[in-house]
Amino acid sequence: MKKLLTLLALSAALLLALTACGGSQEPPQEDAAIPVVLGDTLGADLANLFLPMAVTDESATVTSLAEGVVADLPFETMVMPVEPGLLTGFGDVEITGFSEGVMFGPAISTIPFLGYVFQMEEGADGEAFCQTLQEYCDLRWNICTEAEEVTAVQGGNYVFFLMCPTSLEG
Amino acid sequence: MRKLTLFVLAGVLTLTGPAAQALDLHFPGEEPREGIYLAQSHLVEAEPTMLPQMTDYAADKVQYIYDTYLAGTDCKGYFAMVPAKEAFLREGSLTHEVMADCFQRELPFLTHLDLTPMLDLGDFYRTDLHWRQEKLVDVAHYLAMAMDAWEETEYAFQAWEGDFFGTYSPRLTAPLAPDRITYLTSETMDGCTVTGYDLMGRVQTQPIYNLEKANGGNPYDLFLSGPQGIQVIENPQGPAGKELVLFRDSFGSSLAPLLLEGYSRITLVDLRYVFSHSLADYVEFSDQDVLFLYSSLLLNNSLALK
Repeated sequence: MKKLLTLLALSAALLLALTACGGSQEPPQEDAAIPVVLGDTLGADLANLFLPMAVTDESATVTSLAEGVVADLPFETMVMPVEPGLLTGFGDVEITGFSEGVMFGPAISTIPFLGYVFQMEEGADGEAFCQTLQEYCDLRWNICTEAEEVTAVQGGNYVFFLMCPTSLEG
Repeated sequence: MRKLTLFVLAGVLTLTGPAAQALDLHFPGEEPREGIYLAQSHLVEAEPTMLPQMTDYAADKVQYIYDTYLAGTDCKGYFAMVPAKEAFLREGSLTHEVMADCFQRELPFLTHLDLTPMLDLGDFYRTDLHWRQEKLVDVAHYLAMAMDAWEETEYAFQAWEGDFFGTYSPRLTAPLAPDRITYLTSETMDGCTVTGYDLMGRVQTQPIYNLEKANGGNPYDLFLSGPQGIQVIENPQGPAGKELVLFRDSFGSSLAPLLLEGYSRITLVDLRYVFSHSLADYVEFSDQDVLFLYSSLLLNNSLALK
């Protein structure tokens, strides 16, 4: 939690351009401070880990961002590269518009947890990309379990997407 | 009444031949929801359009498994497909048959074991998509014979005492009477141990039939505790060295216990919950029988396989 608060404080202090999208997201403030995803759900927590890293770390890659997000999760995770086209969690809709992407999730678990980090193509509309992800994602992508929330946010030239339970407790 | 009439017409137009006669055409004060309809006292889900890209993806995933883990070993590969309930109400080219043809064409290293002749609608729960374990002895016999792993077994039929309102029940406001779950036990099963993983990926011991799970959210989780990435069933009374690796979805949970007699170890792998790239961490492939057993429902949604 301390780590999260530190990151949130850091993000609030930075005056960087950042476009955000997603139903759970607060619009950018007039002072252009980095917005945060409101709420205390798992998705909001992880999005708020992602945002400052995506905006401030010039050496960031989709892999390093995903690894940073999942570093403190209580289960072992895997990060796998993906290419534009059919992606797990979006039915038969092809997801395009990104130049690099990774999928991440539990190495072995039935927790309905599936995330992506995308680097947008040059000139791509990140907000529209987030909306596409939210529109076509399937919370029951594996049929037998169901995620509880969806988070899609853009930070700099990267997009973070996650379907997951609202909490890992219980 | 007008809506019901329209639905009846739609049903007749959609289903032809025996299916049209099979359709009860009766929803007491109820409209079909999300493609669920009532036929022969069963709640049946209309199969979505078959997506060739999903079958291709599934075939590619199996090909990856073969190339990465099976090639060069003495493993023997098989595949079997579980038709969706609607397959027993329709005539003509069926989703599972088209998928099976694709698998046979794309994956010639696997022997196809056709389960269709052994199944009918009555082998499935009325309110759920899954098959009933007590109806699968002939399926298990066929599979075990094909894999040279059949041992005669005497089962005891046990009744789970709860009401099983299957996954389709909530989609009707006036659900059918609940299903009853019967599960099969044997002396061999009594001596087996099951090892799986909890939500956080920690190893845990599990029962073959998990009554606690059955009394929880989904009674079908009675069978091998429901969804699991990897499970290993050890059968100390089984033939030494004879092992099965079962790539499966939820249909495999109720079938696997019926294959135990012929194996000293069965490893169940559900690629929805474990990455195919990390299988070497959990399974050492050498000379096992390897059976890919999937429902057409999952294969038409195969991107769920990681």
